[in-house]
Amino acid sequence: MYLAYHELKSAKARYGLVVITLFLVAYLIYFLTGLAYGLANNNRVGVDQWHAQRVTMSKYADHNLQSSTIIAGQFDRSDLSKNVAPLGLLAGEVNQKSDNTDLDTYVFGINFSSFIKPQLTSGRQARHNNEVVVDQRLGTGQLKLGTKIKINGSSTYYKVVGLTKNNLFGTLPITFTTLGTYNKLRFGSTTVKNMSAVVYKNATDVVKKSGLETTTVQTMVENIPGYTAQNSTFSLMIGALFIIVLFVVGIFMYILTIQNVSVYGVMRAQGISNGTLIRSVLAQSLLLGIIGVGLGLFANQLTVLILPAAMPYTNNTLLVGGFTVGLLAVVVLGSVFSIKRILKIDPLDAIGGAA
Amino acid sequence: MTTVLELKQITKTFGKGAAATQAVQPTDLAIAPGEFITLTGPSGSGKTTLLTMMGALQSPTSGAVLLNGQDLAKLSEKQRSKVRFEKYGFILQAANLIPYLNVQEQFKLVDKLSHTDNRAYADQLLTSLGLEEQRDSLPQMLSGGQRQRVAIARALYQQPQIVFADEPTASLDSKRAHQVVQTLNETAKAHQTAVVMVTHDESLFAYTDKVYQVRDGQVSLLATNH
Repeated sequence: MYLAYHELKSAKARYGLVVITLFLVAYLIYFLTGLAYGLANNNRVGVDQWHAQRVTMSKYADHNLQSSTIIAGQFDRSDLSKNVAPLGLLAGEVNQKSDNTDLDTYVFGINFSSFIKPQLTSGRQARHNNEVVVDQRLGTGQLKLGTKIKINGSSTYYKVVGLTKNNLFGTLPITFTTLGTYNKLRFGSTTVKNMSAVVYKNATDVVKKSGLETTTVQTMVENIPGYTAQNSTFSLMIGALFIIVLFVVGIFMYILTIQNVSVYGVMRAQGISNGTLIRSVLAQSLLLGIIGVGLGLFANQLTVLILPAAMPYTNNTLLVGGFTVGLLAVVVLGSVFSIKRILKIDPLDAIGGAA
Repeated sequence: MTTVLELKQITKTFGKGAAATQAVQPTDLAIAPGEFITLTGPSGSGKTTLLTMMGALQSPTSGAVLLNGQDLAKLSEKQRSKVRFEKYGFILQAANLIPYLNVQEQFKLVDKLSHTDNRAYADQLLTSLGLEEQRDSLPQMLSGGQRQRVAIARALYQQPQIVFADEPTASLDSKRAHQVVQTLNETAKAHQTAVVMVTHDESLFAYTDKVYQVRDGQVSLLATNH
């Protein structure tokens, strides 16, 4: 540690460059992680709020909620209960009476007494077909209790009676309607008794029907169009950055080690052990890593304060913590090349040739 | 006469078969505590090879190097490294010092590695070598003579039994060379430390007790002072 510290101190500029590189890459990793997690979260948080274990959809939908329709005869109404909840899903546009701006939304037609009803931040649950509950992010807060909205160009107006938060699906805020309204919007009449899926709170509640398929909520989320592709893109980028860190630190430490070979040779001749030299290199890497990654973490926290609320940016403590440990591990791993070089140093080389 | 280091019929052969060259012919040598000996001879005569074998940096092909009666070849590399650290001091042609540590930090590093604190002794050594003003200087800020004097202090710091000096004056002018070797001699004598010096410079022989001539791997006693 003593050697490591003094060497770092003596070549501040050189080591400063590594720290800056490490900082930038670490920051990029944190930033991408925040975006990836935020985006993934915005795809699924409305579903996560159910805390449900199983979903039944039509077989042909291939786990894609948006393509699933369960028609009236396929599932007995009598099998529905508080913990076995019907769900109708429809992509939609919402207009306010006073404003022609189209607001993108997903309509969730639900039974407001079932377990998948939204947690309200204000107002009450819908009691009639002409009442809706919306996520407060819809129209970035323009929609208030009592606001009247049209859905998908409907002739009737629906009144916002309740507000909820963190109810997003496919990155869009959700508009909760009754199952009747969903059927009216999608199939033209409140008397149609179709739905997109049946959601079960417990796996033991599952009712098997022919033509339908039951899956976990996780599988359903992974089949939200774009969700898996998005996540693997981010994972690939983050993985590539880890490899870049490995090489940046590895190559840099190796070059510095080569520059120091004659000094190390003298030290070995003087009886200073390999262990001491290796510990010094490891301590250096770790010190550089802690400073660089620490700055990255700090910048990441600042970013959270600066970013607009609309950005899907969420820091997950577990991910950030895991990547921090991972980065430091990769930084230390990068000095392996140097250690191999140090082990090859022959103290004889320090004494002007062996012959 | 007691001996610190004893060479018993040591040889060193490089290469194998027809290409083999015998760098050191069978050699016997005994060094007493506080004795200052010089190895001299033309380039490639084997004197540095001899020095590195005595210095536990390589083992002889045959024969034995005994330090206080202990055969160095029988020790593990780790133990030999420990011998070099605790019992030996080295003064090389140049680059003896760690470039990013100032003069007193060179000694502090040794303290850290041996878990001791001999700061007072370091100060005493530096003062006796006229280096008290240079304590906070990095090696690059020192003159060649100052650097070699720091190297002497560093080599003597752990109160070794033997100091090995490989052409310690190679980078110095003759006035500085004499000062450095004289200092080495005085300081070593004061601490009962034996010195083995390799040098070409005949004018330095006067400071040493015995001079050995090495020629084609053969060692012969050239002169004895006193």
